[in-house]
Amino acid sequence: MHGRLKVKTTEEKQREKREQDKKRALEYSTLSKKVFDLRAAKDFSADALKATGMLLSVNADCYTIWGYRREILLSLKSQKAPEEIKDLFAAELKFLEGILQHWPKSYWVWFQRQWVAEHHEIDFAHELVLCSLMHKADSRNFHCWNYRRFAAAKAKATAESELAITMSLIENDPSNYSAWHYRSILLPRKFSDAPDELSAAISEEFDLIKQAIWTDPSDQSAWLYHHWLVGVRKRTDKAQLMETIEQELGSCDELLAEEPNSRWAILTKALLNLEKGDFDSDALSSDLKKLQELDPLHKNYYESLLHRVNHTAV
Amino acid sequence: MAATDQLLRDKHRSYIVALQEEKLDSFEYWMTEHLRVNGVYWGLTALEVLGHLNDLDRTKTIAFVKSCQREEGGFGGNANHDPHLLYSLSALQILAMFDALGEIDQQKTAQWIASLQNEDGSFNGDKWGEVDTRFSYCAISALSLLNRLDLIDVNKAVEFILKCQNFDGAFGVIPDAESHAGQTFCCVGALAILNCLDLIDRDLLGWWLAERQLKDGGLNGRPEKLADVCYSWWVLSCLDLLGKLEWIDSDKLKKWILKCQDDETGGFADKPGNMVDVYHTCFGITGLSLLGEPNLKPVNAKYCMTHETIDRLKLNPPPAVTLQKTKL
Repeated sequence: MHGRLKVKTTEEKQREKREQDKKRALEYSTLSKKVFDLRAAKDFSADALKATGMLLSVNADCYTIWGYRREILLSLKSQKAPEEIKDLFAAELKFLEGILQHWPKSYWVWFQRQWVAEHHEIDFAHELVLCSLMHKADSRNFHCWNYRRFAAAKAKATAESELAITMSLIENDPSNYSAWHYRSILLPRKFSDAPDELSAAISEEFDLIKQAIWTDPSDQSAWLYHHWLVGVRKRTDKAQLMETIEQELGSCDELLAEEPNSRWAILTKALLNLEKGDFDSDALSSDLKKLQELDPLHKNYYESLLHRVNHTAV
Repeated sequence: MAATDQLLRDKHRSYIVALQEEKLDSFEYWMTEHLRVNGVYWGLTALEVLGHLNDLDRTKTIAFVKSCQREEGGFGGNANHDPHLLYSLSALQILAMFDALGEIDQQKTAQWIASLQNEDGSFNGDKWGEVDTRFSYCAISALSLLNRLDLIDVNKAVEFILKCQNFDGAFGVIPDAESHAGQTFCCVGALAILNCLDLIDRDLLGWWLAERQLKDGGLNGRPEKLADVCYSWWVLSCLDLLGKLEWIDSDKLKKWILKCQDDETGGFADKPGNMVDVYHTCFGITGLSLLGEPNLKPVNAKYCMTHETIDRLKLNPPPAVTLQKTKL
């Protein structure tokens, strides 16, 4: 339903297309009827499993048939010896890998994989490798990230190893919101009992994000993450907050010396100043008005910040 | 395609009405038969907002929806499909629009929905156990329409939703999942229905949502992605509920949405120049309504249904949520 370009074709081609379409519709409807009839007959045989596989390969969003497939798998499982069950689910995982190539963003397909993992012991280290492979093709696939987190928990992967995964993605391309997001989950969790270590880690993150910002000052991932880092500092190490704010204001000025119209740097400076509280109202108002010129789409958002400037007791 | 700077009302009406026809020779028709009830909801909502609810055959449509109800109480996507929250909500919304909620066993439906709530407050989509904030929204919205929110633990439901809030103020599929505008609508809509939007950081979320607007005026669903007309609903409705609609440029967005129309076939595509479908048609039109496009019925952002229909239902206020706002 997304991303299909409308192309004008001749009458001849249109007729051809309709014929082809009719043929595919007939093939699918025949197969669909067959599978639904098997289900109505409560057929939980290996042949029925195969038939569901054929249908789902064409339409992996046909959710009711995933349900039927699970019923068949459970029925077969109840009749098989342990070794055979192992093969059964290994085959299911293989089948799903194939489907995922064509349907990498189908909620139903990813859930099926998770369901297999809940019903049978699987090699979660292998699952993590699968996720890494899929992220090579599309590092923003959130279904894959969610599954990765599920597999990582099952595999008892350490926060370190998962942080390393995010790092390798960021090193390849700093504009990876999914990787930064995962770091925002991992870091507080890793240091949940060690506030000093968290503080040190956050200081390192400021350095890391600075590199990302300098690589591409227009990439919002880095700036949104930066905003969060300031918030973490405020919540977990208030003593260091002012020093951090001054440091980051300095960083913004460094960037603005090279890129005076970087709206993210100007906005970040404004937000830092608002957090600081002790700011030059005229300078800050002037910065916000400049933002309204540079980024008129969001002028009312900047207006709300101007309102805060005017209503902050100095 | 000619320039499309006007809303092509009649073209959209014809487009949607023509969808009632069973297109058994169309592969696409078969590929979408599992979500037909969603399709009917999208089409009917668009028509209602255009002021032409009765362009669709009321009797036939109600009969179709009823045929989707399974003995457990939930509705499937079509007559031969298993019950699931995604389709149960659409079914109830269609019946609500036609003022026909009385024609089904509401108690049974409500109980089936409530039975899907887990201990942690989350909702399964169906008996198989998939958890997703989409299902939280479907359950809460559906039970709200049935006036049976008393059947679930609203505190726990909200607790779970809040666990899905991320560093950027927006929401994902499950706890720890990356923020996405669609999931964010589900969470914000659910919280709005339960009257507890004050439990989240509205400025932070408002900013993230405002940053979905790209230079061409369209809205994307998360950073570094392309604009898509459906985000004109998912993002805009959230901004509306947060009282921050003015944080984006309405004029530019409106112009971008209108460019997504197809002046030959009617309907809206995800992007200008692409193939249309009823899903994008619905959200293009509801988005335009939120932007104040004239001669469109006002839409209730919590439900993605007209205020007229929601007001007619005279819904009970929701049970009180007693969670405190945690210091984030």
